[in-house]
Amino acid sequence: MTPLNRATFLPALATLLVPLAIGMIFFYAPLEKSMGIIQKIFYFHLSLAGAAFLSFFIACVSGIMYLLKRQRIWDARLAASIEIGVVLTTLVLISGSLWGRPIWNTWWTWDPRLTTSLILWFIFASGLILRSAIDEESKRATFCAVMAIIGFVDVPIVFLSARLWRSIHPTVIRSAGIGLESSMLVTLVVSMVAMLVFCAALFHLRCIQHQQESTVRDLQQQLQL
Amino acid sequence: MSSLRQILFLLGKDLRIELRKKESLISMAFFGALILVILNIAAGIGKQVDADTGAGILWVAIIFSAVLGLGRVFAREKENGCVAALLISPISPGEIFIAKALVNFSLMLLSQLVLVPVFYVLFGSHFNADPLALVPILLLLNLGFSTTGTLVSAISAGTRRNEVLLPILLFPLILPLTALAVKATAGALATRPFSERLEQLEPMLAFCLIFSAAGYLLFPFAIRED
Amino acid sequence: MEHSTYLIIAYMAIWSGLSAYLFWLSGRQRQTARRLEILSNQLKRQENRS
Repeated sequence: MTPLNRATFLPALATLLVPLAIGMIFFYAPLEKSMGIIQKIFYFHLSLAGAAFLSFFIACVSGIMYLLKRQRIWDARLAASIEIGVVLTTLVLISGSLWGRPIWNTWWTWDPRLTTSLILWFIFASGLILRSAIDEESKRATFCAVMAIIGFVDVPIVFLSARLWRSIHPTVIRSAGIGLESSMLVTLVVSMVAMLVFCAALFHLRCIQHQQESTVRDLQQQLQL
Repeated sequence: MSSLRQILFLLGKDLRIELRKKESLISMAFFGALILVILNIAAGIGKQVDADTGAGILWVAIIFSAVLGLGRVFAREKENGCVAALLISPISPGEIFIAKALVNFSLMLLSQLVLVPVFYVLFGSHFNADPLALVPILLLLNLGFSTTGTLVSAISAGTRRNEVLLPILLFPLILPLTALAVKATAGALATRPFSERLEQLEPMLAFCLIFSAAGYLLFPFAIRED
Repeated sequence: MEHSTYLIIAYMAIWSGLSAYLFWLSGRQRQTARRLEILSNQLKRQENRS
């Protein structure tokens, strides 16, 4: 598939899949017994979380590839994945709080998954701040790659320590995904695929844009010389 | 020169500068003590804090004062253009990393020699814990903090906003280590048995090893000036 | 508050967040296009002069 094709294919697929997923969530999936209608947040919440973790993983891989190859395309991928990851994690935290308030009766709790998402958000948002603080292109890419790698290395430790940290506290969370009915599972898979396609389209768009921006900047410099 | 001698040489150089000018150490200890006093007032004068809160207060003071010293170690080299000289010298970037991490480690340790007694004076009248029980926690946190901090301060020193960026980049990374240290310290202050604390000390050790390795591998990219 | 209120707020938050990001991206795109236009104008002027 040529890049031009892919640029139109992914958004087109996303515009099909996202309404389908929303329709399935509200009209196909049954109401959850104990939680009621609020459970319908869960489908997109989990999809967003999955896409967010995936984009941080892509950020780490792009960082490693940039340090090895020093190609601009990997910096574009790194920047795009960090940015999208921060946006998605923000939405995960917001939608999670809005679910936790009626169900757990609290906006926030120090559950390992919540703690990990929050700390990840802080690490990668600080990466965005770092990007904005450096003008020089190769330096910005190198520093950002180092931060992305070390941030991702931190993830398992954060999760482990959050679990240990919590162990003296009473727990208010239970796993939301256990014992899903088959129609719920189908809905979950559809919304997850929809979200992944949407994010892939977003990622692709951002990468192209990033490369265009740096090409334009190059042209500008060449003209001024 | 063997690499060990090179590392010791760099370490000696930095410590000698520190002993002559005393710019980091005094400000670290002073700032840390100041935070302890502020938190003592904030906790309510004349009130006894329990072991959990006490441990949190001690670590807030230590972390905030340590970040003060951390920023100086690289900013000093940058100001005088010494980083380029270090890179030209036959010392490998990995050895520079070890030397700088050891400098930070010793600075933190020396400032803690002041901060921990101040903490005991202000808060510890009812903690009958042995101060020596804190030593393994302090050593592990210093190790993790100085290795991560050395890598991050090399990055932040290369930007225009060194002082602001250093804590912003460092604190999220160091958060799990600090959380474990706080919990272990609370256990030590409440004189719980040592075996219970192993549950936190082992992941702390793992953190130190992982970040030492990651720092050693990534430091050459962070320090390169291009 | 009713549970459905939280649900509506959550969906609005998710999709308005994503569309805000898209709007920000299109803003950047416009900026790049403008810069490119300035550059090509500059180039034309240089060619006319020479």
